[in-house]
Amino acid sequence: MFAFRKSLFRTLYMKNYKYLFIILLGLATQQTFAQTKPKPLTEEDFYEIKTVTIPEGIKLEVGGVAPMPDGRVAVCTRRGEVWIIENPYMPDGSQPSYTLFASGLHESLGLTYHEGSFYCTQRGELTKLTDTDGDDKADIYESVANWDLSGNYHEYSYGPEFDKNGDMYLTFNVAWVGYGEGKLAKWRGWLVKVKKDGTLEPVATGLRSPAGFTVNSNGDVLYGENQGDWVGSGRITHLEKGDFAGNAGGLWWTKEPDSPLKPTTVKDVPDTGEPMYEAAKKMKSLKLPAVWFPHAIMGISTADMIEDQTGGKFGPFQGQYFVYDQGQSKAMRMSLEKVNGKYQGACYPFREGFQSGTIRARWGNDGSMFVGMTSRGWGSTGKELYGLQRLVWNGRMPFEMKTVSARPDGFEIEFTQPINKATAENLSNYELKSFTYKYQHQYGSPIINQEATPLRGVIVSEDRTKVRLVIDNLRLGYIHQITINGILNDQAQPLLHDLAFYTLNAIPEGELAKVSPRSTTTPIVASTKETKTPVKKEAPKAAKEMVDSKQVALLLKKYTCSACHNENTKLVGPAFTEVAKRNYTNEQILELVYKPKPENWPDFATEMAPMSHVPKADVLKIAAWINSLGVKKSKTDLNKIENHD
Amino acid sequence: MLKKLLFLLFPLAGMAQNQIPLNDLSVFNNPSANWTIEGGVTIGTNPSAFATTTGKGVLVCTLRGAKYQLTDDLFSKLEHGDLKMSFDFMIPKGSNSGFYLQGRYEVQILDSWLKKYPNDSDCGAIYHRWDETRGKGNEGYQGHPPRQNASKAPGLWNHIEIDFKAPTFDASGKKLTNARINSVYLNGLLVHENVELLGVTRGAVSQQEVAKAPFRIQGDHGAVAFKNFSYEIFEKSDISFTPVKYEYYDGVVTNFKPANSTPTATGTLPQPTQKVISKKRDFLLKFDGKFTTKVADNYTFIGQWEAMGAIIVDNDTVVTGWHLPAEYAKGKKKLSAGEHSYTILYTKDYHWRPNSLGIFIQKDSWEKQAITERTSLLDMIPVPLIDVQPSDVPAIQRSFIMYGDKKITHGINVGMPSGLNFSYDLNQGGFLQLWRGKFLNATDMWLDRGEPQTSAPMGLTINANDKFPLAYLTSADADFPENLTKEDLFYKGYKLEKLAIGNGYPTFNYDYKGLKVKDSTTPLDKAEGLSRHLTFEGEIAAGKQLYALIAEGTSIAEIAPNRYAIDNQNYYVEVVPTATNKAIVRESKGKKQILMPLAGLKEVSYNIIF
Repeated sequence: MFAFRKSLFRTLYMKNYKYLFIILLGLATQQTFAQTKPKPLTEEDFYEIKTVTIPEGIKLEVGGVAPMPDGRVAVCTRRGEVWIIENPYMPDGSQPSYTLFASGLHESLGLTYHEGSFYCTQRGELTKLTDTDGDDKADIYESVANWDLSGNYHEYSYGPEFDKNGDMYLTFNVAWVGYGEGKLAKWRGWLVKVKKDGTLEPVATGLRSPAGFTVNSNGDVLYGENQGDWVGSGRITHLEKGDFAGNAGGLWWTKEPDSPLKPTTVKDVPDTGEPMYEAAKKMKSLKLPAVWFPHAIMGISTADMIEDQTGGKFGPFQGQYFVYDQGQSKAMRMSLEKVNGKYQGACYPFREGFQSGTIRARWGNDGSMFVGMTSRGWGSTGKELYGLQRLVWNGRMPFEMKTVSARPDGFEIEFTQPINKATAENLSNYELKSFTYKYQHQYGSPIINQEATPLRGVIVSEDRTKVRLVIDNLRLGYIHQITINGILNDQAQPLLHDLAFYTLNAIPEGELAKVSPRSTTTPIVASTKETKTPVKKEAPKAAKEMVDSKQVALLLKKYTCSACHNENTKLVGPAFTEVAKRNYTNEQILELVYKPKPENWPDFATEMAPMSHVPKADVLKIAAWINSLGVKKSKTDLNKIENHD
Repeated sequence: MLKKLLFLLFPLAGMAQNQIPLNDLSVFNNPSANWTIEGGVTIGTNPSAFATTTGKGVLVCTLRGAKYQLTDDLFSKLEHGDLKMSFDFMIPKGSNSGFYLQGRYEVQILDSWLKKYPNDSDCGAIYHRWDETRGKGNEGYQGHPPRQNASKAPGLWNHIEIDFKAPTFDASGKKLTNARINSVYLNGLLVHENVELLGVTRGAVSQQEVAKAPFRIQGDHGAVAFKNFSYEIFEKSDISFTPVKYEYYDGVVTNFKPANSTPTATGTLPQPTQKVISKKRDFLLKFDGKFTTKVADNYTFIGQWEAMGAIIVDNDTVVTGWHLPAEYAKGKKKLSAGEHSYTILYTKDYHWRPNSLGIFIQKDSWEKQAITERTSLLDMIPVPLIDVQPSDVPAIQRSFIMYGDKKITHGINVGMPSGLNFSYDLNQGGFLQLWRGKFLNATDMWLDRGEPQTSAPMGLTINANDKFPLAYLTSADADFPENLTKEDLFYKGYKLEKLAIGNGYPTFNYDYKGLKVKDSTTPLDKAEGLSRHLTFEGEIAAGKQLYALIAEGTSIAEIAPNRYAIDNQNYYVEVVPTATNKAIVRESKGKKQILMPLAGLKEVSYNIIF
């Protein structure tokens, strides 16, 4: 690479002095520019991803990760192996060493080290693995508990997570038979507790695909859900005894005498397509999620979560949670507060760019995080089939919205660093809106009931670390999206991430903030309806083919299409060039964006969510661009257009 | 995927099977005195000799004269070209025979039991060719050992299925194509597939290859017995076709009716093919042609297409509908000898899978003949193998396991370095399958999502009864319980033991009605089979009698003290004798069982040999 550049330089130099001059001039300009404005910082400037190398021949399709007190880390895999990795931190470029501790388990998806043994969840059994003769190989495979299965592949079992009493929690997927079905085997769709004597105690139901859950420092169980039937979008719910978290598959077992819910059938569930907040008013056991993770923006397949109990070793987010997404190979962040005794809170982007499908995360002993990955059968943004990486805070302070919390008349945002007051007081630097999803038996949901939530005023705290947002149209039961652009810290850096989503299940009581009514001249919020970007170049019909690919790139990002689709590469969804090959009309693409037909793409594991909230004009622009990809000649034209710009 | 596989394995299912009646020797030419028809054959305490029972159905070769000689080979009256043949065979210890296709190409029959690395002289091999001019020690060449040793112990019935394609010749007698073994399954195990035979093997009746000849059974090397001969012969299809006219309609199609009734293109092709167009959806292709049959018969038409198609013969729709190529849509029609007209329609209204169209015609005892051009039907997408094999310690793998139609959800497979393996139902404490050879095919568990989540044996397999061997019975006549509940039998886990033969052999632990039971299985010393050993501790409930079910099957014959042949000599079971207790053979619910009373004992052991 380096050599190639050098020779290119030489060619240019020999051919034409004038060009060389231009190049040098360009470099100089860039340098001047760099002095006046700092280089934009990215996630990797604060949180570094370190790869734990895996020997050739080991298929480390991670299902569970269990760091050990002695600095080793154990990993269980979907092929049923448990590997103990010595020297996983790999200081000074040293190598890790892998020992096969156990094997032959059935799709083990959870592993915990506890009092000298490993506890591993297989499809149909919680197994205690113990090495009794000191050779680093388990010789006792004790069945702590086992449960029925129907034989359906989707009946995955996860855990265990220990509580303070030494009891263990497990979560059980429902079967997939074209919809989530729980009745094929007992307690599918449930959170269960395994008591020390091995008996199963059902705790809560309504679970669909609970791949990640945790018992937090308060002893509360939080679990992540994947978009699907009865689940409009990814979400995290606090599960208490007798809760029904939304998917009806597991209700079948409420007829059992030890069910903590009274007998309930799917007919008791308000399957109306109204917001879940409304449905929960009609069904007492229906538990609202503490935090919604809007589909495609905040992941597509919620996986593991862990609470930051590192005491600052991992950065400024002590007490918050990191939530992983398998399909998008990334970590998100979640802050929780209790309002009226119930958890609710916000989620934020955090770190992208892991190598495979991030399914499991556990703290290492040094306050870094081990992230275990697999994508077989599902696909993920990270292209490897499996992997193990570590996420390490390098000690630099990211400029972030640290916490969004609810106030009686809006939100308070705490930042990780003092903010520039002038930029923070500029109301036009905030974009606020709210929306929610349908609660229904159908798979997924479009965004519904989107409305602006206009900002009345902003109060910056004395120490410049907080802003109080006073909002008109604060909407109970809605997801409130906060986008901040233009607020700077003392180093004139913008926020690392500009986005937060707060799930407002309850509005706290308290004193109202005193702000003067907003001036009518202050621009408030982007309208939720069609964007006002003038459709300037559209008039001449001949130019219609000349799609502005830069504008489309922005649209693809804005509407999160690029979370799942790339121009040329298969990600979670098909490449746009593949879509182009289907020769749809722009109008057909519009129809499919609003009402996707997953059956058109049988080779793709993840169904696309309906994106009917995207304005028609923008979808048609995207559609025109997609179709332009299908024509090789017009692609050349496109390049020309880009050069003109 | 499983469905697809089944289709691949049995594409010709439903064709005529011919049985060779073994009431006498009339189907053979001049059989020597060594060949007789018997009712049954066993080997007893002397494993090298047959004992026969009179009756019919079993073809036996034993030495009647002074010694075996070449004239003891047996030739069929049937002359065959392409042939599918299946039969059972049994050999006593050390014996040797062979099945010669067309008297020229030998599939070897030999006592190769327990041989770990079989060569091209072992049972199931396509025997090597022989050329003395190659020099001493190098005469043998171009033989094919079986992929793995699939032979059973002497005295047990083996089952073999051979699919043979005869060489072809032009009118002048010049060979056009070599003979070929399409496949050989020995005891259910695929040991050869698509092996071209470049010439006759050693011991052929003639070096001259021919289109048709009798099959031959080797009888000059020792005792051997056969039964259940079943075969199909295939003639070359002799239907002739004329070039075909095609019409291509562009646009949306409903019920084979194009919206635009004027064809976009027309023409003539030597054979129908979908490749005549490049469009992937919204088209109709129509082919009209004629073919001539030489004989009146029932003809089968096979359609392998992606999306929608139809085969119309003499204005009669024989096959139609939405299909995938792997579905082999079929229809029959009676045709007179002479010329017939046919129409093929093909349409597709989606893009995301490529066009594919294959049309075939077939008659009983005929190979199927393609009507469409070869590339019109796309190849199936192959699936890579993901397997598990033991190293110097056993490989253990839990999975779902198919047991008949039932999916066992808490199954475990154990593959031992000696090449013996078993699968086991952890909830029932029972064997599911026992096998020798390669260990485990895990493709359906580890490819993509692994939706079946099942694994399958890769060796010579014996099916077992999925029953926990211990039970309290009220008397020796009481039925043995089936399907234990967790209350009766509680699985506690397993321990990997360090044994003299090596580390990592599992012992399964159970609570059975107050007894602590340990169940362990290890290979026998020379890998002749598996040895199961159960120990039980605890108070036997007062007034109750504990029994062990050692074996069960349609038939049980005691062939030597404590040694039994089970299920028509499919495998052997040996009860490890004790000084005090003696096994009982009994019948219960229509099945024969070996029951061991356990009064006064703390353990019970038995061996399964195959």
